[in-house]
Formats: sequence, structure tokens, C-alpha cells
Amino acid sequence: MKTLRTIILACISSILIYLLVFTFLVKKPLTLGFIHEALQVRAAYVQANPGPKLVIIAASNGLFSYRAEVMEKILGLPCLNASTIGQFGLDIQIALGKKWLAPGDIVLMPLEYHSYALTNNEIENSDANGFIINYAPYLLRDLSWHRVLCVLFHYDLKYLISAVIEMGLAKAGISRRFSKATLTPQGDMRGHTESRGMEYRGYLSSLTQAGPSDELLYKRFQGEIVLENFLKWAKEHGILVIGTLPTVFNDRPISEKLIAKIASIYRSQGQEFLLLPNHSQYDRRCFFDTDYHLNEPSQIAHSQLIANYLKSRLRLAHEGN
Amino acid sequence: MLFNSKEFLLAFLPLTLVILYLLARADYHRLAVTWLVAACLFFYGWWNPPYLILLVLSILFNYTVGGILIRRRSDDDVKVRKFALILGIGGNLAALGYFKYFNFFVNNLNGLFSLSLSDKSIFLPLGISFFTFHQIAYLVDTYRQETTPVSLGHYALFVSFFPQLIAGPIVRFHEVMSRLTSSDAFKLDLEQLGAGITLLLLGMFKKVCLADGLSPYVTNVFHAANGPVALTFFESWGAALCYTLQIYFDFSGYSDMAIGMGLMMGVNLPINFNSPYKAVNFIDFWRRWHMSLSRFLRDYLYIPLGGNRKGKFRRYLNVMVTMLLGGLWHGANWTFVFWGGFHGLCIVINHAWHNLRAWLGWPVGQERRWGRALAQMLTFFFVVVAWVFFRAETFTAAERVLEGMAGINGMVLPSQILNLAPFLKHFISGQGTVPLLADGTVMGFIEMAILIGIGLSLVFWGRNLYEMSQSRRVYLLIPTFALAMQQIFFAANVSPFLYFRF
Repeated sequence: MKTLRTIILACISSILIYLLVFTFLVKKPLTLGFIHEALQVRAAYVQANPGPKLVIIAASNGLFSYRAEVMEKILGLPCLNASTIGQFGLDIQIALGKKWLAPGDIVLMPLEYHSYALTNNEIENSDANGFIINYAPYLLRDLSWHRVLCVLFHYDLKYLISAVIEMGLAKAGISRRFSKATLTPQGDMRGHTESRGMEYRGYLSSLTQAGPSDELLYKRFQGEIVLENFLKWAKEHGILVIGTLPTVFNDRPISEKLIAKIASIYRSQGQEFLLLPNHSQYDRRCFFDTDYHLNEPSQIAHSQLIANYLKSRLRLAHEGN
Repeated sequence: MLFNSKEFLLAFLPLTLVILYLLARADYHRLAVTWLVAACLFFYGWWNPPYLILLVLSILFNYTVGGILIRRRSDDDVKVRKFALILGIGGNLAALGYFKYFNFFVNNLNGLFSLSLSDKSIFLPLGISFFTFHQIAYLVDTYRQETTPVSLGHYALFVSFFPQLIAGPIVRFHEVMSRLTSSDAFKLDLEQLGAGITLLLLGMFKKVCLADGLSPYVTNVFHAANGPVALTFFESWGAALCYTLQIYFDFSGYSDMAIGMGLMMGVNLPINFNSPYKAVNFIDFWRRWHMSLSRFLRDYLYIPLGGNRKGKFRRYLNVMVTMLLGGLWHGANWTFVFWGGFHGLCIVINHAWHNLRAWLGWPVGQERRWGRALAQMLTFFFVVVAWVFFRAETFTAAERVLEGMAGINGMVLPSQILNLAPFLKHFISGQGTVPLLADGTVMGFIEMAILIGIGLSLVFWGRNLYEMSQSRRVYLLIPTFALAMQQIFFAANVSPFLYFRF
């Protein structure tokens, strides 16, 4: 009996130590801390620019391929880039974007193709869990008990290793390629120039073009459900959401059927969808380090293009009113 | 049903044990055996019910042949016994051959003679290699009059005992049967239960945290090697070392879990691994790696072939035949045969080297410390090289990985790493993203490097679980239990054990 008691005690201690270590002792100051810093930059911007605004919500496609700084000059209204990273599940990407929204705002959503096809498992086990526990525990309030458990028990051996390394690097003053210093006041990524992107050319040429999953046509994914709930919420709160396609290579056209399916998700909830003539597809040379990440000159050009379309759309709406 | 699945850990195992203990406590031994056999068959059938028929037929066939061998023990029945043994072994090998090697055979015939024989879509029954070997061993032991008559229930339990049914350890009849048939079998023994639970949990940690943690770094490189890719030095070595560690932690983790569950039911299964990467030569390696298979190959193949009794040449030939067939046993692919042959050749060289040393008057086993360390490193190096053939799907893929390991396609690391240590730029090129190095990210590379470091430290310098006291093993649960549970209950995927496909 003593042996079993010792084993049970060892197991309980193990769980308590696990929770203590991952909740309070280790964190990822470089990868997840960056998102926290980005939120601070955005908070400062929103405080300085009250009133109706355009908010871009996506993963890193939003960060690298959209420039709110450029768009606000064309649109004549404050623009905020509230995008995060692809490793965050769609629910948390949206939750982090939602905090900046107020009635009368406009949301631009160039969601990555895979976001629409996220499974429940992928959403529950995303890297956002680490962010929540260390940087945004307030988000736990809105999560189901099962999701809270997923947040508490998200951390594996690899997480522990990389967290310890990140803490060490941060202490040594070493930062990532992209950090708070490479964000515009609006929260866009900057500095991903063509010349810096040269060392990724080989890698970019080896990638296959991203695109939507055919399964979207006949299967309902959790990603779609999460998005629909947000679109509904936005409608109820007087927020206009405009979906658009993310930026990918132009090796082959994106299927019209799939584009129609994506557009229908927004439109079915009374929101809008903006389809550029080029379907947001660009030559590989326009990209920085991977698909979804335009380099800076292309980011600016694409943002100008989008902003001009939005401008005419908003003017029409204004005239209509 | 996987040992590391929720349904196994939360439902099957506790339910099986509780009912087994209750029946044993009430002295319903036969009922306890029946219950355990039913549970084992359910465990097997859960994966693919139709193949349960194959297992049951195999058990009935071998039990019948075994019965003939037991009943015909007089000297007058030598011919009958020989015939029964040949029939028994032939039947087992025919089933194994059909399910595991039919398409391999057909494809090779087509290739050799430009035929167009069509292959069949045959689904490999789980654990067939293991339960076939179990039963061949039983028939040979019975022929040698080393077994005792047992009931069909006990025999079925010996073959289908779920902890070792799918991937071993390959047990011999006399090793477990006395426990399975004893009147106090399956009775709850808290000390044994505790020891079993501890081994189960630590084995699980090895599998789900260490082996599965390394797995993605292996898969991407070996998958890419199937296409025209120029793998660089660190990409290839990363994958080869990760696989070397993955297969060890995966299979030894499985064996620990099997031995642990055996103990929970009062059955001592043989140890299958004894720190194999500490081996100082290939002979030593095979005394430490998959020990129950080595023993099987030695006792039922190498020694019957003549072993070392017929001169040096025959000994070396027997080693090669044994290892080539041992390689083929792992899978229907020439890469496995090559892997076995490579190990066989290394063992032959090893024996020849020992002979040369003896001739020169240099005693074997009295090397200095640095000599042993060098021997260990050299053995490990060749073991890693051999694993490349074992893991690769084709020889071309293996060649691509080995080319990378030889540095033929250069050494490339992420520029960010080189910026931290600029002196490395003299030898290593920088690139923004090295896609097949770990997960293609800088942090991924560092994670992989540290995981390899942890893994190598454990296999080179760590004591294995069987060299530790029970109390020390329980202490090990403190840093490992929660991480293992996290993987089982909260990780996105549960992956099967590597040896399940053999």
C-alpha cells in the first residue's frame, strides 16, 4: 500500500510542479512576448486615435502583407493592424482583435486559407494557449472549462526547452528578426525589405502555393463556425466586416468555387467580401520569407490597392446614407 | 487500441485488471484465464475485427500441432513428430509469408523476369510477426520436449497476452507458463502492481514525450528524401540522430509498458533493452537491443544452422544468414534486408577482429577507458548509419540522407544562428530558412539540438530503468508524469508505436 501511496503522491506532485512551472516560471518572451508588445503598441494607437476606424484582423498575412499606415492616408480614417500569428487559433486571433472594436468600426479580414479549415483540435491546441497563460489570462473568462484545461495543459517538453532558451536570449538582450521595434505605430510589420528577403529566395522557390482546402466545399470546419459567430456578433454590434483573400503566389489560379464558398461565409452573415481582380495573388518575387508574407514594397502596393477599393466602397456607402 | 490511448488507459486496462483481480481473489482461476483471454482478443479485435479470426485460427492450429508433438513423445513417433513440426512451422511461415511478403515477392518477380503479375491489397495484421515467432518457438520447444501440456485457455493466453501480443517481448513458453498456470496467478500484489504502474508510466513518457517529440524532425527529412532533394549536413544528421533516438525510446518505451503491465498481472516478461547505445561493438549491441528477438534468432535459427560449431567460415555465413533473415523479418523491403546484412557484416568483422586480437595476444575486454569510449562511438556511428537504411523507404532515399551526412551538399544553418557565432561562417553557409532542419525555424533547430543532446545523454550515460531501484523509479515520475499525461490527454495526435508495423 505504501508503494501505491508513494506513486500517487509522486504523480500529484508532478502535476502541481507542472502547473507551477508553466503558469508562473517559464514563458516565451521572444515569440509570444512579441504579440504582447504588439498589443501594447496597438493600445497606444487606439488611445491616441479614438473614433471609428478600420481594423485588420488576420494571422501573419495581416502583419506582413497589409500596411494600415498606408491605408489610413488613403481612407482618411484611423487604421489599426490587429493581426497576430498563424500559430494562434482563429478563436484567439479574433478575441485579441475584438478588444479594439466599437460600433461603427470596419474590420478587414484577409484570413489565411487554412484558418477556414481549422479543426476543433487544432484550435484548442494552438500556441495561443501559452500566450493566454502568460500574457492574457483575462481571456480565460470567456473560454469553456475544457478549453481552459487545454490552456493549462498545453505545454510539452519542447515548449519547456524553447521557453528556457527564449528567456535566456531575452536576458542576454538578443531579439528576434521582428520585434516591437519593427512595428509601425499602427501595428504593421515593417523592415522586411527586398534585400533582406534575398536569403529566403531559395526557400520561397521550393514552396508550393498555398490555397483553400477542397474539403471546405463539403465539410463544415470549426474555423468556419468560429468565424461565423464573430460575423454575427459584429453585425449585432454595428460593425462592418469585409473579408478578402490572403496574399499567395500566383502559380495557379485559386478555384472560383472555393472563392465563392469563402465569400459566402461572410455574406451569409450579412457582411461583405472584397475580391481583388488579381485574387490577391502575386509573383514569388513579391514575397519576403514565406507565402502569405509580401515584402515591404509589395505590402505597401497591395495595401494601396485594397485601400482604393475600400475607399470607393465606403464612399458609395456614405452616398447611400 | 494503443497503450497510449485514452480508451486503453481509462477503460480497457482498469476494467480488465479489476475483474481479473476479483476473479483471482475468489479463486476462480479458470474463469480468470477465460476473462483475460477474452480481454486480449477484444484488445486485438478492436484494431481490426476480421483479423481476430486469423489470430484465433493461428492459436488453434498451433495448439493442435503442439498437442500432437506432446502426445507422440515415444521414440517410435520420431517421423510423425518431425512431420508435425515441419507442418507447424510451415503453416506459420506460410501465413506470415502471405500477409507480410506476398506483394514483396510478386513485385520482385515482376522486376526480375519482366512479368506483370498483379499484387493484392493485403492489410498486414498487427503483431503477426510477433505471434508467429512466439508460436514457432513454442512448437520447437515442444518438439524438444521442453514444454508441458497446458489447457487451450492457457495456451491462448500465452500467445495473446495483450501486453506482449503486438510487439513483444518475444517470450518463451517456460518463461511465463508457470506463472500463468499457478494457483495464485493474477492475485493482487500491491508491490508488483506498484512496480508495474511505475514502469508503465515511465515507458509511456519515453514513448509520448521523447520518441514522439523527435518524430516530426525525422518524418520531414525522410519524406523529402523520396524526392529530388539535396539534403545538407545538419538536416541529414539531425534526422538520422533523431531517428536513432526515436526508435530506441519508442520501442524500449513500449517494452517497459509491456513489462509493467505484465507485472501488474503477476507475469514477469523478459527485459528487451539494456542500454544498447552503450554497446562497444556490434556483438554487444545485439546482446542489448531487442534482446528477445536476438535470443529467438540465436536459439531457433543461428544455432540450428550450425552456430559456431562448424568452423569460422560457416560461423560467419550463419551470422550473415541469421541477420539477413532478421532484417527481412522487420519488413518486406530490401532496405530492411540490407540493414540486417549491414549489421551481420559488422558482427562478422567484429568476430574477425576478436580472432585477430586473440592471435596477436591482445586480450579482448581489457581495453583502456578511452579505447572503450572510442569503440562505443564507432559502434554508435555505424548503428546510426544503418538506421538510415532501416528508416528510408528506398535505397535512393537512404543514399540522399547519407550524402547529406557526408557533407556532399554542404553545411547550412539559419543565418540568425551564424550571426550569433560569426566564426562559424568560415565553415558553414547561412540561409534565411533551412526548410528541412527541424521544423524550418531557428527555435525549432535549437529545440531539436537540445532534444538530441538530452536523448544522447540519457542513452550514453543514464542508467536504464532496470538498473534502478523501485524508489528511484518513483522519483522519476515527478518530472515525467505530468508531461506524459499532457501528451496523452491534450496533445493533438496520438501516434502508434514504430514496431507495430513490423
